[in-house]
Amino acid sequence: MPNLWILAAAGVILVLAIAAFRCEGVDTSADEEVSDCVAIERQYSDIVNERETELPGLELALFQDISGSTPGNLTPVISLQQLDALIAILLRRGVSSPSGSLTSNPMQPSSASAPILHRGSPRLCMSATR
Amino acid sequence: MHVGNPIEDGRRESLLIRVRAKYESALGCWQTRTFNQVADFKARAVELLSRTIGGDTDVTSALVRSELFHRERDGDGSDRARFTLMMTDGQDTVGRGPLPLSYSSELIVVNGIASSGILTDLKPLLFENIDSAIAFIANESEGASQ
Repeated sequence: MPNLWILAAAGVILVLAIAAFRCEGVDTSADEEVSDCVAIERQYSDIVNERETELPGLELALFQDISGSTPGNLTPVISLQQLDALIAILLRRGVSSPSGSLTSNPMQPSSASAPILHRGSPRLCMSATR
Repeated sequence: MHVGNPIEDGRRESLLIRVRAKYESALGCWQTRTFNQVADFKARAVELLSRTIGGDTDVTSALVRSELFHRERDGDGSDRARFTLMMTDGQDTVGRGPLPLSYSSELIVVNGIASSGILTDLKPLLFENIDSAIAFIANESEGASQ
């Protein structure tokens, strides 16, 4: 019977010790938690933005001349696949980051109309004329 | 990030999971928005490229506009690679005025005549086909960070 009491007492002490340990872990101040959160966020952000920090920003303006006056039609016209390739190059710099904005900004139709991809760093401006 | 305390490590792990979930959510929103805007851009670009109306070639205005585009600042202050890719023979048939005296991006001209018309003074890089020019842009812009 004494052994049982000893076991019970040890069990209570163990439970109290675990509770105290757990309280120590949980009972952090709000400031510490914010600090931890910022540190973790920064660490994770460093990882996910690694690709972006490796690459410099990129801006790309396109101009397509499809004038019929070119002798022998020697000015090539960009294809959709080639446009995709350029967009892919631009997005490699931005797709890992949720920050920034990408907006379309059509130029006035009175001139060569030009949709624009515009995000913090990677940007694509395109105009065409005939 | 582990501190050796299993309770503390667990707490940090759950915090990291929450931060990651928040990030993934924001990333998903950004990707959806970007996808839609890229699709919109491409739809209008295809429409632009498929028009068959005739007209003049306003090379000067295109160059002025792309220069304005490159000179815009959005406040992030980062250094950037800047390219202007022009598929043209450089023959301006509008004559709006002089070209910009200086140009802030790498100017690339693609055509099959090895001439860049009014753009010659800006010393563009000449390419015979668009794929080579795209490959150049990809290599050059990424190589700049090495």
